[in-house]
Amino acid sequence: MESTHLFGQSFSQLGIANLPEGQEPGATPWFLLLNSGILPHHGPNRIYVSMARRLAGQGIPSFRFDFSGIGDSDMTAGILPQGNWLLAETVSAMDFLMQEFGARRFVLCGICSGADVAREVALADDRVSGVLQIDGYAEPSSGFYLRSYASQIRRIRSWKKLFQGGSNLLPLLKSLLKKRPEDATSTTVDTRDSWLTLSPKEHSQRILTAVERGISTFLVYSSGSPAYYNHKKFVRPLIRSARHNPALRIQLIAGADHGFTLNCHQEQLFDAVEDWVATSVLNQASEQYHW
Amino acid sequence: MQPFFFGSSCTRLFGIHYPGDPAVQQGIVICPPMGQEYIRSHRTLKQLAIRLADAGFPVLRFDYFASGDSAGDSREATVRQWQRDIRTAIEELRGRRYLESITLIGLRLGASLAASVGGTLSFVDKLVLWDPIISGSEYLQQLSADHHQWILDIHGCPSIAGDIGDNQEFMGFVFNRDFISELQQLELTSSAIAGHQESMLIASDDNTAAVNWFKQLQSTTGGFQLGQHRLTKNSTGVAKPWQKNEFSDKAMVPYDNIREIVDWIHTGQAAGV
Repeated sequence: MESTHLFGQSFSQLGIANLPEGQEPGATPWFLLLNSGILPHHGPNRIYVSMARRLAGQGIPSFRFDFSGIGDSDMTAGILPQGNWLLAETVSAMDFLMQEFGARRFVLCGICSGADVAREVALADDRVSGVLQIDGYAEPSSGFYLRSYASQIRRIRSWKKLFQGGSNLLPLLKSLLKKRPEDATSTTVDTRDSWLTLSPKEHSQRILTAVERGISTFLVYSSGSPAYYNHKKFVRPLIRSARHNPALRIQLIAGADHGFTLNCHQEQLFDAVEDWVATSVLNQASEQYHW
Repeated sequence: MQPFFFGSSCTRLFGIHYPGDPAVQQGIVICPPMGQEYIRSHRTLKQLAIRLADAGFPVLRFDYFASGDSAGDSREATVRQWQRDIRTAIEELRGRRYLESITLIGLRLGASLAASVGGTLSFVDKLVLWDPIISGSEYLQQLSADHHQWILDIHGCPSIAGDIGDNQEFMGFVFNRDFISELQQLELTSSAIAGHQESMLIASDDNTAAVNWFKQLQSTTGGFQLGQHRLTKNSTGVAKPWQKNEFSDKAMVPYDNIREIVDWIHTGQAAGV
């Protein structure tokens, strides 16, 4: 059963709760579905709506909502910097669900930027027992640029664009030659103040911290866009470090693009999430890696 | 802003009501496009609703059955159901307080559906048609071409077909055979606009079908008062948010067009050509 709610500062944020019929609201963790960039609470290609309804079929309640100024939520006169504001509003959504429904534990799910928000809140709030990061941070690789540009090299219009000065290839090459964040000295950026500027190593370390704390963590990656990120390089140390930790699960959905646009990839994603929920969130034995 | 579910229990619809000024007796129902165009234009239609409500109008923005937050999966959608949903949304808004008249605003397929429903209702006295689909069969061809082009761009080969059994997929949204067949037959004719209705068309430069349709409408309704039908050409080049890639992270809202719509509904004045 779905119901609409206004919550947050000045009750200007919209959320939709999906509570399975006959379910005691505090019996299982609530899934919180976090905005993916500026996309509304339906998620890319309405994925969150479908996911919420599939989760309800497994007896899992969920809450899909919009951060202030995104989707159907109004803009509030916020004073926090962007990163902190996203974290604060996720915590505020959990507070609301505790008060309104008696929710006690939460699993945070995010796609793209939402995946990183999910992880950061999990590290900061003990009520979070699981994190589902779908195409969260991974380091863009030289292979990514090679693959994405290889297809364009074959197109006549790409060459026209280059000679007419409309291509972003040259600025891109310049930026690649710049010092990468992981090479930067520790004095240049104080990452403790902003999780938005973490280096790849720090991202990876924070995932491991969550896993070591026993937070069920499921990293799902797509591969079908022209190698959007260098997932393999990013997850390799994670697998090495947490090989025997059942709290970590990693899965690649081959062929899927970043938004899981095609229906066949959405179905694979939902099946993977259902399996993770059954085996890890609801605490049953699981196969860890599907790579 | 008041979000809620309404309609029958098996086809529950999601809506957001913006109450506006209690003294204003002209209500507005916004009819969205479908599929990817719905996602890409979500912010535009939200901003439109907010500005109309700020101008005093009670507004209802809603999702058709099997779209957005409404019940159902896209496989269950039918064009007839979506036309019923527009009527249900109108009744919902009228049920909230006395309203003398209703204005329907539709974008893309929403415009075509709004015209087809609005033409049959006496209390719908204004229609805003924003880049309407004139020919359903041409629109289907376009959706199919876009789907295959996207697969080619992303995967480098056309190996993933858009056909799933009896259903057809358009970039993540799967529709059934009945829906496809209904959409195939959808034609927006000038007779869809009733004699008592005023209308405003916003047409992108490349939507020649809509411009031609509107000129035909203007010529066949010569007996009505001057200025009854207005045409605004959208020539800013980029103001077509429903064509924007969803992951561009650029929330493009064509505020000029929104302003024109609000002005036209509010004062009957808008820049026309």
